[in-house]
Amino acid sequence: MFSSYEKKEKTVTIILDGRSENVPEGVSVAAAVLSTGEKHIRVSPVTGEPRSPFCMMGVCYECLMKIDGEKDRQSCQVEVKEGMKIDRQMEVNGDGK
Amino acid sequence: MKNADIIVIGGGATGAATGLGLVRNNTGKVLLFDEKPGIHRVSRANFGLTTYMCKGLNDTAYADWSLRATHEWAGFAKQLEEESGICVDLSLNGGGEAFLGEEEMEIRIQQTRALKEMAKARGSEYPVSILDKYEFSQLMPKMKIGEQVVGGMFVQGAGHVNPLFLLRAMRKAFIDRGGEFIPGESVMEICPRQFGIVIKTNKREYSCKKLVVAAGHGSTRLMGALGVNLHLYPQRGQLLVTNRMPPLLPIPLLTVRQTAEGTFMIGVSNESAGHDVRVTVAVLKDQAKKGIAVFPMLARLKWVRSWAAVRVMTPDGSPLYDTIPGHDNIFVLAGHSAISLAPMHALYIAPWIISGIKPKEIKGFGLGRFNV
Repeated sequence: MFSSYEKKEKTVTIILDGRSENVPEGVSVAAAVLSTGEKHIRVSPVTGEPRSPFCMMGVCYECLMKIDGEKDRQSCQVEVKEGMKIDRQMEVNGDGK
Repeated sequence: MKNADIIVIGGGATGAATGLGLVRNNTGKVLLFDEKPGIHRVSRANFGLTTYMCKGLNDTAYADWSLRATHEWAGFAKQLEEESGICVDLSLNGGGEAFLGEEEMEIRIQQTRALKEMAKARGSEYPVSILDKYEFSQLMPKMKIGEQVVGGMFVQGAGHVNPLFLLRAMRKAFIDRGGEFIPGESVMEICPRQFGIVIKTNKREYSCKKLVVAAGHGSTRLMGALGVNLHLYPQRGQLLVTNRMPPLLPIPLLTVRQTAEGTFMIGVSNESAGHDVRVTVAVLKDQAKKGIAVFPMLARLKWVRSWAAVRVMTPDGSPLYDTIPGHDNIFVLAGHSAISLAPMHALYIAPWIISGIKPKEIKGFGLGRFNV
């Protein structure tokens, strides 16, 4: 869906949902995941509806993903790094215990 | 000069609810002023409880007024949603509070006993029950209760609402019923005339037959210029908001509630900080700590937002509803329970303004009680 207008020379490899992906270096995790062709990065914990990153500037909290084992991180505010483990949050979960 | 029958100064929860009540009664041309952006807007910072919990320890009329509001909420919200097409996310499954430690539990038990006895003595009720830890945990089976919690209380008929949708719905219904909402103008002066009242804003002049002043702390300046001291004082509150979770907490507590959108709102601080609406790390930390003590799972969530606001407090905590001396066409409405009491403002305060006949239930909420 998205493609970069600026062809970056350098890429890094991330582990997205367990598979390897090459993404541009120096971009946010949200931008990197969108560049792989993924449209949805999580589901709403209340409605189960699929969601996508929206504001890309840290305000809307639509881009939450699990980054290096930590859930609900604002992926638009984190720079992608070589070997980073990123998981989309596509299942409604979270308990109160 | 633009003419109106009634002008309401203050488009917050109190002014909007009262304005809506006025236009529902076809009372002629009603204008509702809301000051320019950038000022303190406490109605937009509310926690969203609709409750009577712990209200009225010093004033039994306030206890009954608040309890009646919870009885009116379901019908009020239904009509408002039909009028506006906006769902206000009202939930009326009761409310509660957790007790952290025996000392707090003992204070709450005595307070509840006193409120029950006072209610019984005047033929009313205070339907709050004190629960042990197990009973309390059964109110929210999906949540783990912290080790420090020794018990809690259940407040029958209380609930919560989305205060932002409520404000929007009341303003929209007001406009749809023919009221005129005037945002971005500041009322500079109120000039009582022999017949009616002239209002000077930063832009122009208006005249009206009756005036309702519901401008929060702004009312202090407007009324002070007329020689009336409202005795209002500022009290700051701060809160935190987390990321969204599936529905886990079915009833709101005084200190923690889960919104319809899934976020947890935490915090109920009371601070003396003038009109400063900044948040402070110390208070937010303390609020977070207490929240986590009640529900340990909160520690795993992300803190996404915080804000502070300044409550409009009267000396005894009860609302202020009165006309000012010498002007029975100038009404003052003030207080900190504008969300819980929204139905009362639309259903009972507005008719009082129209008829001039003060309901007996609010006779104790006059200005005279502060001038002793």
